[in-house]
Amino acid sequence: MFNLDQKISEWRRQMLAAGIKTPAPLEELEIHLREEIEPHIKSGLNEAEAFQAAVEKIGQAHLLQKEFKKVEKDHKIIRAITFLGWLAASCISLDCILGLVLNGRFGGIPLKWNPGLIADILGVLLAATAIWFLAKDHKIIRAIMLGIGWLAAGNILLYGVVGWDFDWNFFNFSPKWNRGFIYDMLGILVSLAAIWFLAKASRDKTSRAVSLLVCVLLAAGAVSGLPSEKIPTAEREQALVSKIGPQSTTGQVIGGIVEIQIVRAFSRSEPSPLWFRGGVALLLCVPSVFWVWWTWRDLARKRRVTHGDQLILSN
Amino acid sequence: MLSKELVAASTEPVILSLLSEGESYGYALIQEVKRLSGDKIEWSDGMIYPVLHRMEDEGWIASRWGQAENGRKRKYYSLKKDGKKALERQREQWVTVSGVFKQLWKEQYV
Repeated sequence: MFNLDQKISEWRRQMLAAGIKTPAPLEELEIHLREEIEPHIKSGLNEAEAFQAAVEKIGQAHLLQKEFKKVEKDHKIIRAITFLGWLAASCISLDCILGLVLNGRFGGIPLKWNPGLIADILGVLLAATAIWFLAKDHKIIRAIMLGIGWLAAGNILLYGVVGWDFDWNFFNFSPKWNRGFIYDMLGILVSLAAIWFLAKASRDKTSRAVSLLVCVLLAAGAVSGLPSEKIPTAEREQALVSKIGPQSTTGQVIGGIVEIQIVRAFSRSEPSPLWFRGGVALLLCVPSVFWVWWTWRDLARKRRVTHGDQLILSN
Repeated sequence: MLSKELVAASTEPVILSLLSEGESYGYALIQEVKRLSGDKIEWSDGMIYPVLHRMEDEGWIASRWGQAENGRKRKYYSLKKDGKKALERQREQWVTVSGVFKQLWKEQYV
């Protein structure tokens, strides 16, 4: 005599033996099996035939287990690799960014490209690439990393431009086509390349907002650097001298003299040429152009898809 | 019958689309797909569960145990916010592909 419950119990044991040990999937599969048996019986099959048909339909135990295992394995491996990779890449990235910002780069006068700085930049780029691959399927990490990428790339671009301006244009405009200039240009080009890809990838709201902020700040820097530099006039020096009089205290006299010396030391004979100031401003505006380009492309793509969708639906 | 590859590629968007109409369970999803495709899409019944579990891991769908009218336990799946976004993305892709074929094969139907 065929006993359906007993047969289902045996089938459960087979599933367990094949390796489907997690209770939830097995219970779900058993419920499915029972749901599948019912219509077969209603259509006229006996219990044994209905059971057999349902078992065949649900699939072989080892194939099912293989699929379940794939999900579990993928899930665990991806989580472990992502966590470790993210941790390592974040440490490297943070260290390199700190190195860029704190390690005497902006603190001291000599803003020069040296092996340490290049290693920092390479470290940021390598860590950013690693994070990119690890985070591409994890939205929050991806958004955070894209934001950090924008800040790092904007920082490198600014550093390159400031370094260039410092070497060429600090007291008076005197272009030098030396190794420092090449490093500056390399830094600028690398950061612009990074910004191009970041602009292409920044589609979520968070990274878009950060990227927009970086672009606006750089553009503001471009605008503020565009007017010609002020040249201290004799009137200005005279005004400083006139501040010092017989009634001035010793401190005021010394302060006034120092101020006059500073004005003299930093005085320019003439403003830097427009092409230089314009070039620097254009460079700082390039990220905004990339941002607008990729945002426009994204919006156009969305419009195209929606339009295509409407056409298909209307047909 | 459709090719295995095409069936496999369309499984996720089909499930997401079905769940966008309301929560459902494995058996019902399979029956609905069969009905909608005129029996041309036939999933291997058990295989839908690893897919559902993967989609749950992705955060696209949520599940809960409930009870059917006949008192039987059932695991119901519903679409989450990320699932809606995933559906939107996949829908865009399928609409694009469909649009291309529609234009390429238009002449054959004129």
